[in-house]
Amino acid sequence: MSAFAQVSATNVLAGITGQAAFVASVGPIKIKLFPSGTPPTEAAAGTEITAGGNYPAGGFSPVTWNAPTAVTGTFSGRIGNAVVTITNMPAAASISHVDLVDSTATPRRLLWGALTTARSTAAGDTLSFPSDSIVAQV
Amino acid sequence: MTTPAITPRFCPVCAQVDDHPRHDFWLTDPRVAPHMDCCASQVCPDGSCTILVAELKGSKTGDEFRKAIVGMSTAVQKKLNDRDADTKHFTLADLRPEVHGAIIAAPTELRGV
Repeated sequence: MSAFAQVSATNVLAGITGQAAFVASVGPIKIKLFPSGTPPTEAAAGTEITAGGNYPAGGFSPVTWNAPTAVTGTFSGRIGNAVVTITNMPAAASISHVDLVDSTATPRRLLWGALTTARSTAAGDTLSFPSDSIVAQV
Repeated sequence: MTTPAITPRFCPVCAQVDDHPRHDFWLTDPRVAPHMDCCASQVCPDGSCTILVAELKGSKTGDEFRKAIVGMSTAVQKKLNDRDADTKHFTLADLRPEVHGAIIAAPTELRGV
């Protein structure tokens, strides 16, 4: 299962029902990568891969996004990432999950999910997420 | 530098199986990824391999090339950072199977509230 982090979901729901002011994310958005053994969940952040090379502790940035589009059916809106390329990756085994966070002093979790294809990187490898390969729908 | 064990991968450009540095594209077969110099020779879709090969490879192969990447200078890093404006648009549809292997998975969907 993949979803909004709980803190992000309650922020949206409280904001659109007027119970509290919506708290906007502070850029840049970062992507954190997780090994299969310590993934994030709705409530917990998990333990990301060990930092190294061009992948810093706390996640790689910036992650930018294409414009959201309206959709019809189970979901009403859709957004996908712009290209993310991380050169000089650290050695990391079985990367299986992502967590997207903002850049506040204590980063707020936004979206998390299991990736459809787990993979491992060797030190120095380049890892790219093509445009629209990470998609969020609400 | 101690190099940890690396699972060999297939390069669809030169058809070699080895543990040399790769450009790995999410949603393609994780066992398949082009060597960086092979990716550069076929026009790397985000330009990163073109810079890494031009600046660091020379006659180096395998672990020697990997060491050069891991220890890259700030000048090379700046060239990688500066390329971004022109390289933010390639999609899965732009990945050529003969260079990057077949796409085997759908985009990862982070579903909503």
